[in-house]
Amino acid sequence: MTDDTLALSRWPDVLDALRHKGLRQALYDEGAVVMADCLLTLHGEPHRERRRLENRLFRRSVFEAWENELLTATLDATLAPAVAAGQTDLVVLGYRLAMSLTAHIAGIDHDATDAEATEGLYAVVKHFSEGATLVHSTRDKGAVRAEVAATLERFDAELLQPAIARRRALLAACDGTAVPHDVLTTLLRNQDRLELPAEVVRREIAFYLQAGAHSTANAFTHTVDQLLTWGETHPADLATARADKGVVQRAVHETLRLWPASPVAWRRAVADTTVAGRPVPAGTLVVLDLMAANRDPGVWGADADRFDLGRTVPVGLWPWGLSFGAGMHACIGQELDGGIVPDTASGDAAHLFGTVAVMAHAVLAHGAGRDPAAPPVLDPNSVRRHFSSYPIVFGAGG
Amino acid sequence: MVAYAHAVGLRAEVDREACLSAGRCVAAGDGHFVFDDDELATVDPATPPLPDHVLVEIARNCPAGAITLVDG
Repeated sequence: MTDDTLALSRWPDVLDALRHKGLRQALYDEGAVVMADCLLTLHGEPHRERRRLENRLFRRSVFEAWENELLTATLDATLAPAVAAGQTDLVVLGYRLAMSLTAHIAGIDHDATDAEATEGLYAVVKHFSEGATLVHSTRDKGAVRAEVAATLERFDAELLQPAIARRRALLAACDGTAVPHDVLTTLLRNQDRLELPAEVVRREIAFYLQAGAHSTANAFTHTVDQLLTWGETHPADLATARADKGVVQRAVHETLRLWPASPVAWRRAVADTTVAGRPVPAGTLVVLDLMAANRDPGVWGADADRFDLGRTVPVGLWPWGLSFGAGMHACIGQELDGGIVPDTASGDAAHLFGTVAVMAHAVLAHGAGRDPAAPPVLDPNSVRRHFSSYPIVFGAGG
Repeated sequence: MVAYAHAVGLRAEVDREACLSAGRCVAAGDGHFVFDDDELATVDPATPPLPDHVLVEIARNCPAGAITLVDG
């Protein structure tokens, strides 16, 4: 074993490492209080077994109903008060939308029209995120662990156990039509077979809540920001985006390429191996710079750092870069969030634009523009490019 | 990628052990890929072959890297 670190930032090297089956997830080792034994941290056969089970919830046939029914209904309920008021904060709106949608997927019963309950759930989930990314925390790590453990207990008592009780009752009633199609129900159905302890179920649901909410909300805000900025020099494109979800979807992909939810990935070699042509001893930490790989001029061209709505994606690359990862830990919600690339073999009869594009388009279609009296503010407490406030007004038009 | 782009008559093989049951190949493969009784992807030999560029795209999008393309 070794304490060596290998840092990779070129596209082909990072892709090779992400697909390498001898490298296990390592970014969340310190965040075990909320991440231990959840899908993202499992390796080998236990990972394969869990992923096969949960993947059944993340297939295109499921997404069609999701995008055309649930997402639309949640958008209507959440967006209508903001449009009526003529203004809102994009960050708040994004988290409310993403939180309600993610709760539905995870299996936490939630009323999307109840803003107070949504805020409460979001506060809990923020704690989970702090626990998951403990490796980057500048606070006392023992104190954070204790806080997150206490939040997990409170979450369990107040939200998870009622959700479990309702699902167990529905499962016992054998009424298949009434049983929710969510991660929690799937785990409960298979809990005995997979020998899942209650605390693992709890952490798995916590993982889905925090991973889904933050990535979706951040991508939403960044996409609208990029399109509004692009519209300053390309007003016709912005006008088209307000009417065309397909254009917004292209913007989502280009935005994700530039601003991945997690700018780095960490892996650790489980045995002596070779990564990107380099010998790697067992135990080596492999640090993958996803943001640099997504801007690698060697594959993306000299203008890789720029947002370009009309970018021609080089053959063999994904338009979102490596922001959804690749290999065994590729984002399970990739097609849910980013939709389907229109020109793939899937055909276009039931094209899916993805949650982020549908959310961003809904806001833009109502004429969203920056509030001239209150410019957006970047989060001063984050090394990542996150907005802490993004006031918008509706009816701004082009 | 270059090797794929110039190949002709490719045939897909699915590594059953590696398959994660994501179903992207089943959704995109126009019936060429199906789920077996264990909900793992497999190629339906009764279906006509897919064009090479479609197979390349499907193989590239498999999160498990479970699809191998070989000369048919």
